[in-house]
Amino acid sequence: MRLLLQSSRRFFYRHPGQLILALVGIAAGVAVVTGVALMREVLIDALDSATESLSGAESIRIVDPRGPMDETLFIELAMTRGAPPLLPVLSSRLRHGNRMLELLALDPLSLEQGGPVRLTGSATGPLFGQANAALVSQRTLERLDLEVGATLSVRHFGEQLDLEIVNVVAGGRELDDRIIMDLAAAQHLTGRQGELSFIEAPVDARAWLAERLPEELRLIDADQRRESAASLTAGMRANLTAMSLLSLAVGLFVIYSVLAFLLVQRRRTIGMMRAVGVTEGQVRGLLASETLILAGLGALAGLALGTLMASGLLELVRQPVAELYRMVASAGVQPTPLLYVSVWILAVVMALASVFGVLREAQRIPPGQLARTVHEERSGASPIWRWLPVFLLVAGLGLILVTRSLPPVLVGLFIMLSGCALLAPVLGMHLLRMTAALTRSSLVGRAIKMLLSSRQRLAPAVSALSLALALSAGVGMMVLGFRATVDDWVARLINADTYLTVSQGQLDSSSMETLQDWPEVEMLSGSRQVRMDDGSMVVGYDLNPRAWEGFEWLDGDGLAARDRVESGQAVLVTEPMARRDGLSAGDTLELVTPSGTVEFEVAAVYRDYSTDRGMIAMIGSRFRELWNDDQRDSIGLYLGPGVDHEALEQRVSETFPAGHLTTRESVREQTLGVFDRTFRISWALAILVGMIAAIALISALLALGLERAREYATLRALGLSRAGLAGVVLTQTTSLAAIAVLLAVPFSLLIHATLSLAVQPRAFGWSLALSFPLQPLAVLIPLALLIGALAGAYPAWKIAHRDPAPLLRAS
Amino acid sequence: MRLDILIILVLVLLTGSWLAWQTRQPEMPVERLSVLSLMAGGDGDFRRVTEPVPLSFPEAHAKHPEYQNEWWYFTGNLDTEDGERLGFQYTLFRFGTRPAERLDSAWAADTTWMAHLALSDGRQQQFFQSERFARGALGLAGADETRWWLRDWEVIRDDQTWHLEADAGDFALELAMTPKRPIVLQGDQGYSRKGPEPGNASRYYSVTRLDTRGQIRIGEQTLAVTGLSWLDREWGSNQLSEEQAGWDWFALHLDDGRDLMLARLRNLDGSTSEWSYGQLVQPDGSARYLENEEFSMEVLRWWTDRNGARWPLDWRIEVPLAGLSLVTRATFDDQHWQGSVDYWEGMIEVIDFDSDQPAGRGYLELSGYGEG
Repeated sequence: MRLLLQSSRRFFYRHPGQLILALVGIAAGVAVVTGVALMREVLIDALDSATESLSGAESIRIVDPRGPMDETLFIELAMTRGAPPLLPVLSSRLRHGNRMLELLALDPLSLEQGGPVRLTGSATGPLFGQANAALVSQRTLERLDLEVGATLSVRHFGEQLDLEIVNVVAGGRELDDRIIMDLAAAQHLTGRQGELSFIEAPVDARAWLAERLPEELRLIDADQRRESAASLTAGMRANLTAMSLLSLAVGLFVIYSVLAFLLVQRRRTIGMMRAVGVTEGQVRGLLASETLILAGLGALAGLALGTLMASGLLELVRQPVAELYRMVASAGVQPTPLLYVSVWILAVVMALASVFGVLREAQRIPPGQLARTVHEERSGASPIWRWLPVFLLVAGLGLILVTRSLPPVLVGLFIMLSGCALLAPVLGMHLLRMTAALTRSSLVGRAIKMLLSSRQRLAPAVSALSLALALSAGVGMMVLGFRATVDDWVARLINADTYLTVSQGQLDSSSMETLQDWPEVEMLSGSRQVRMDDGSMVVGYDLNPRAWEGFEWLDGDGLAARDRVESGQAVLVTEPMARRDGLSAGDTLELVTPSGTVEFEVAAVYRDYSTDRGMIAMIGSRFRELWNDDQRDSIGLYLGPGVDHEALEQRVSETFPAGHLTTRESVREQTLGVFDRTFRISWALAILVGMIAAIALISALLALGLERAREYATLRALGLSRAGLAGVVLTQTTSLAAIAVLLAVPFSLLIHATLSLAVQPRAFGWSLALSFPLQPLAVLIPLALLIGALAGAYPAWKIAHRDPAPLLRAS
Repeated sequence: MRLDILIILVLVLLTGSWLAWQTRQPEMPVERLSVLSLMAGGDGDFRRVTEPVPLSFPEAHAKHPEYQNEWWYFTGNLDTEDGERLGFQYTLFRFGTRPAERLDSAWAADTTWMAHLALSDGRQQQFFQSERFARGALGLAGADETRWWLRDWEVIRDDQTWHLEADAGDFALELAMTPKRPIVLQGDQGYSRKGPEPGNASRYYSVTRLDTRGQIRIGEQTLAVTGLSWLDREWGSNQLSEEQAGWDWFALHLDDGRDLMLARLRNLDGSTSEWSYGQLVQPDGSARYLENEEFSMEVLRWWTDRNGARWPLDWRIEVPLAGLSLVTRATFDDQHWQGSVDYWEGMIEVIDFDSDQPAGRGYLELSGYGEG
């Protein structure tokens, strides 16, 4: 065995390029998996690691599911005999440029003295009595590129606040992008007097608290909070995981193609080994050991690369997570040994499994096959093998069509992709044969015929290439198609001319009345949202006839049911809500409101992409009655013809000193801005998969060019010029790239359709109108051809300048 | 071994170590609030104690927010029914601050309150302590004529008796303390000078002997107790001069019925300040102010705490005009307060130097030796 291993070592010495490509291929796949896995953990931990670090890891939290709680509750509890240490916290989201920050305002004097209090005395001192004093961790200070004493400008509900960083607080990644302030100062500054977001208490105080808490308040522990964060981000994380596994699959194709090719190159050596008594098992063992070492080393490098990459990937998802789920995640990842070991084992096992076919082939090499004859391609594979790709495609598609939950759809997608992978070489060879038939005796025809003679060796390369290209393009098309759908939806829904919001004070019914009397205003609409316990929203709408037209009905017709909605008997639900709760028009739903549980009829289901947690819309008057809340988050102004916007703005600022007008166009831009930020991670992963595809392409093409050295030598000896020979090599590599990319086109459409029509609805609850944006293909096709030509250039040059004699002598 | 394999092994080891290093959990320094920072909230223009002013009661029991610092200080020696020894301390501190801005919030405060609760268990030689803070807002803490409280720890005065109730989780006190003697005004009618500068002084009065009974809980065990307590009330601004490092304070209940308070103020070089003072209270309640020259004291034994700080726990005390020649010994060594303030506060035994017989009990407070 030792001898055998030495022989493979010598082989890799002579072909370092192969070795490097195999390592890079597997490393790139593992890197993406590692990066995404690390990022997933951060998303689950995001919700409350910061307060945990301040109040102790084992803490429970008192929350009011209806929203902020009254601070007098804290006083009542804290003054009760035997009260546990309680920490009152007011949390709020702040925006600094494009970055979301979390304001954690607390009473430092209430921090448990015996516990892991991580606010230093000198740090908290300056907090007291200064309205804008704030603390940040050293990491956050560096991330914001600030120094102690500097001013940090943030926006809080549209209003600018200038905070002074008075000191640094000790803390790790859980305090990333957290701003710590004193409760009094924060209430003063944000105008949230009397409010607390939650109260933290030690976990052993559960019984004491449960006995004394008012009924409407809840106690939730760290596990429940993690679960809630996990379910909030479930769709997003499932998407990321699927993408990362696809990347790994492509990486495995690379290692498979390299190993398969290595076997081909070493048939002679192996034949000799078998002749001198090396058993089948030993040959198999040799190849398995090679795979183990290559995959093991590659995976190790992948873990390191993935760790380096994770922070970058995380930065791409942090902002959408903050915008969509109101969670400020840590900016750093925290790898665990378990995660590293699991990913490493997964990669190595999958690599071994992927080369199973190669092992079987190696086993079949007869002893004494010394002659490097052109390997006889096996033909006439059994019908089972021939029909397997079709079977996989059908099975995958069937699974996708019949299931309603996400994991089986992802499994179905994988099965379908495996079918594509197997189908690719078959179709590819057909295409080549057709091209060869068309070009007949020309040099191109000859070059392609040479390719066809080694179709089995090319199969893995064609699979890997076409699949990777298809994935990149498919994901790109899905994102672009989705964007177009969202754009249409926004354009339809946002149909007021301009929207009024206020940064301070209130908009309420009297504001509506005031505006209604303005001559430039034709109609008004208003909305008020509240967040429910499960993250879903309830919105109260004041709708005018044009606003009603903004809805796109997916089930039932809300316009027809308008009377029942306006009378407050019926509600409208968004598609994600309907899908999650299995609701359709005509059903009834129960809603827990501050005025008790109320039953509503579902009048219709409408298209909505604003939250994947679902939304229930009801008429404003009913909402105000049930929630006892007369405020509006925004008022839509429908203007008459020829209204002078500047004059209107002037009038608004006089009537509503803290008011802002936002035009329809900028609402659309903001919505698409959020969308683009949300899908930056998908683009990043698509590009990573594309890069792995490029590695696979280069690896396959280089191998192809180098492997056929002897045949090229023959051509050269027969009188083919150097330029002619180079042309043959270039033709071969470019046409291989061309078939890969051609095959990638239908595959990418399939992937795009599956992601848009099956994965998105199941992950987020919304359906997408299928469109076929072809830009990703328009980029990838020329790129693949270019890489094909470039990857052929080196072997072409090398072969053309090689003396054919020694190579011919070998036979 | 071949060079290439060696290089690969080195690379594998390097990568592996780097990955292992990535999985480390960052160490978090554990730090606590410091009292000094609470007092640093603004220099402020607090009133200073510069001359004797007649005190009237019960008004003087309430807080004096025009001065920067103030405390309500109970210490006491107790016995269980089985004759076991226990000591306790309950102190409510007030620190005035002058906020830079008026904040529009119910949490806005110009006062920070701190409470210290400690129990010395002579049976196991165990020292229990608990510290808590609250801002002077929303009624979380305060002091008026009849009630001194910080959240659910409180002292309520009804008629002539102070009722203390405080639960620190692992131990709890429930005591009724009834004065046996009238209020003693320290210094000159309660004007207690502590340094050369005008304002290096405090208002200071004591109730030196309170008959105490009640119960103490340690873990699950509740013990009925009786004994004697001492109440000190003091307030002022910038009391110590810059040359002073701290004080050694004795509150002794002598078996002959007299009570002796001695406050040795220490200069930065360790010498006794000329501003040291004392008070001798007779069984009939009459009191005599002791000048610095009228008593002397000498350290007999030092104890070193875990942080390496040295504390003088045993003393020799002479008050010739009262005919007292005493030795005091800490009942046990580790009654070291470690919180936002570093001090030693514990029960001590009083022994007559000549006869070597027990002569009373007391409490000793040592400040300025440790870190805080």
